[in-house]
Amino acid sequence: MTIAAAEKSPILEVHGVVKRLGGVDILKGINFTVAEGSVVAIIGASGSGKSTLLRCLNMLIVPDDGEIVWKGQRVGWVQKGSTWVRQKEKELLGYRTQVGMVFQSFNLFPQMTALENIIEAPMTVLGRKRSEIEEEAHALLRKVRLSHRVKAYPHQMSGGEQQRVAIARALAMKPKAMLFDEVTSALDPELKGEVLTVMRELAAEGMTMILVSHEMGFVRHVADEVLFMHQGIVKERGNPSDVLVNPASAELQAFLQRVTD
Amino acid sequence: MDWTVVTSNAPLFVSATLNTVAIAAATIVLSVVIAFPLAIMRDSRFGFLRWVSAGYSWTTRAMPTLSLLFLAYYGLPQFGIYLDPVVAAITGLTVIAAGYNMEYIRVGLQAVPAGQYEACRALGIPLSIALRRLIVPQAMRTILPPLTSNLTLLLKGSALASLVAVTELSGQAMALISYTYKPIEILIAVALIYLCLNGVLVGVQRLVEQRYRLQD
Repeated sequence: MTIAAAEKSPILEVHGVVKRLGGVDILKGINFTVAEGSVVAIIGASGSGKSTLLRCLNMLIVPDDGEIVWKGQRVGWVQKGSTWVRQKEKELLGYRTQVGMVFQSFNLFPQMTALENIIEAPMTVLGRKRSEIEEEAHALLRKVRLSHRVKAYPHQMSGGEQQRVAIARALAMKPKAMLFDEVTSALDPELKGEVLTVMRELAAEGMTMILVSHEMGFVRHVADEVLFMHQGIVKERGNPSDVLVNPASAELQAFLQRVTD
Repeated sequence: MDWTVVTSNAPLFVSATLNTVAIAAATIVLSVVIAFPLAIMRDSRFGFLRWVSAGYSWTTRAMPTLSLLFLAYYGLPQFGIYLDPVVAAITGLTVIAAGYNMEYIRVGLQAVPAGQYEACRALGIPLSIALRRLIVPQAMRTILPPLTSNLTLLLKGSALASLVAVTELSGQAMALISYTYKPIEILIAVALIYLCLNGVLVGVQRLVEQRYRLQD
């Protein structure tokens, strides 16, 4: 972590997170902290557990062991007397509204326009008025440079446009942090740029971001810290200009060679 | 051909058709309404709900409709419950039809990409709202064709109600045939009436499909 980021209090802490799926250890004890306003990038080969880890952070996947701590409070568990009790899915929803997520496959609601996609959750979850949230939605669409696509349906938009709507949809909940799961992996090269630009601007505004990405150039320039995952553990971590330039492990060296080829 | 057998008995055809429409309409609405929660329970996180739903699906589809109709009409009085013949018919047909409907709805819900459920959860949308506003409208495109097909079968199958003393279309036709010995005319008339009734059903399917179609 950079010195500037370390000075700020961690907004998210990950302690010893373990996840087994189908008898296989996907995550074998992951530890890291995310300072408020910092950008943490998770890199690694497919199957190394990156996406599983990201999903553990907002409890789309519930870890088998370890703790996720959000603003000093343990996520997914509440203390009742002296015992810890697991929260129900319903009780996790409040936490999830604070942590936005954007997916590789966009996952926009296909029967809704760009605008409707954005206002859906603020209306139904936060109970906000349509007129009020519509104004914000227009502003968000401007922010992601899609003012002209307000009434477009997902299948009428390019992948890059859809992904930017998905980012706007997540931002409409006014999250305190954003999770990005390989958000440019499904895009043609010429469309990646427009999505990465939006993400770069978000980072510059001070949004706390945790992203799984194969865009090494983006990671190098935007991330404060990079975690290299290999077979369910964090094999290397540190400032991207160190880790990516002088990889210590043979695994990271091999990985970087593969992705930059 | 002697069509006077149809025209002179028109009032009988009309009242029998109305009975058929009443039974079919009630059964269609009730069986679809019941099938939705059953379909959702089928993939619930809770084992007990899955078990109940799977048991319902299996027993109702494995059981002859007629057995259930007889049980409702002749069996329940043994326990002091006397159902009106129309109510007995609607009950029996609904219980069976819901077992089929729930499978079509389940398949439709499963056909919605997992990413849609994931997006709803990530946005903090409660499952009940997600299903109603986001998932089911998408699933409808998959659900409707087989569901409507089952409902047309159901409309024709409402003829079974005649076996529990309801004077519906098919039962009335059989009675008229044995009385007039003019089976061809009567059966053609009945077939045309069923055709029109199911035409309405298919028309409704079109309208609903259009409602859930993706915009061009």
